[in-house]
Amino acid sequence: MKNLKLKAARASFDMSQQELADKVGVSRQTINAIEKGDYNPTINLCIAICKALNKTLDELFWAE
Amino acid sequence: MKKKTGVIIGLLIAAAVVFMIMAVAVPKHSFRTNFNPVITVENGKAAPEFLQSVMEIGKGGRYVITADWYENEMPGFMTGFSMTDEAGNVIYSIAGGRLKFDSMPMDLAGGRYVCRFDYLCSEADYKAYAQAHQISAETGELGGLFRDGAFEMHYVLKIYESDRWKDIAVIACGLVLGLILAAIILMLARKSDAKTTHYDERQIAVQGKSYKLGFFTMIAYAVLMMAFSSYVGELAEIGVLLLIGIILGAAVTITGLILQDAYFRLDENRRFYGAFFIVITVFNLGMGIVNIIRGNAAMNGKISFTGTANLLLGILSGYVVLLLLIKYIRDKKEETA
Repeated sequence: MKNLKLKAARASFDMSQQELADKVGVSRQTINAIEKGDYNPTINLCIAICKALNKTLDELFWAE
Repeated sequence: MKKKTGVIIGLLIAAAVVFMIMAVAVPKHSFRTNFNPVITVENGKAAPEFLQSVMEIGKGGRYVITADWYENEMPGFMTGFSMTDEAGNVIYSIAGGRLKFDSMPMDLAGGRYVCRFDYLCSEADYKAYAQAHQISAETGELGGLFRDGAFEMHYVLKIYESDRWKDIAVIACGLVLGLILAAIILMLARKSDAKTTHYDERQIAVQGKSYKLGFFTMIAYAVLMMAFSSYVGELAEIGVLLLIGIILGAAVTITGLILQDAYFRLDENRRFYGAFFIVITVFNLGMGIVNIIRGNAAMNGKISFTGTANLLLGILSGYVVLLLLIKYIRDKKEETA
């Protein structure tokens, strides 16, 4: 399932996939895979992404 | 001077030292010659009657003579091979219709040696040659073997120094040199002076799947080889068969790793590796083609490891270059989308 919330949050900061990837210490392709729903990140990576985007886990990763 | 530059210079000096040890302290002498004549036999006479080559052995030592004229079909004559020193003493001789042999190690003094191939077109010629050269001749009915015709022959003659300690020293130096060069390449490929390089969690997960696929590919290949061992064992040396298995396993693993972006660490310079693999491909394919042209691809009637290893590795590195190119195009499309 695509993670549109993550994509929207990143876009709201005008941040590219590469910039977010550099901030959380992963490759651009990993961010791309998470946004496309091809990869389910570990809780550690979810937390790192939330901190980078100033969001909570619920806001980015809780499926409604 | 940056720390990285200092380490690279240190490694280059170490590589130069090891290379000098390998080249100067443990030289290994070998001499080789090829003939591809067409021998015409008419009324029991061969034309030409013999071929010969002079080998100059610069330094005396312990040598092994290997020769190969193992044709697909038995020619209509026997070939007698003899090696004669400067004083005219025959130091080695053997005869056979189609033959591949390795002599026992023998002490050879430095000097010129005449290596001669005589074409023996009748049973009487063959037995006379065997008697003159003190070779135990084939017994039994040989009459049907000798016949007229034109026969394309391929002779490979090699004389190489046989010294176990030198072999071990060269292999050890080669390994050390390989490790040093690998360290230099790893240093050059890093984008920064960062002390740690790492894969992210998705890359590690992809690696697990890719290595598993590569492992099962190698198992499947090994099972197939066991099933057809009697057939494939005749076609190629064991080293070639093992190398093909390794290359297949590596190719399957690398395909998953590169296409899913799990091959390079986060701070590695992909363009550097791309250029590096292109150089490796060109070098190995070039060496492979040279080996084929020189007739080294087959020895003793089988595909030889030393003659084809470069070609096989060149194909693998060429495949890596192709995958990197596909991945680069895919990434560019993804970034612009």
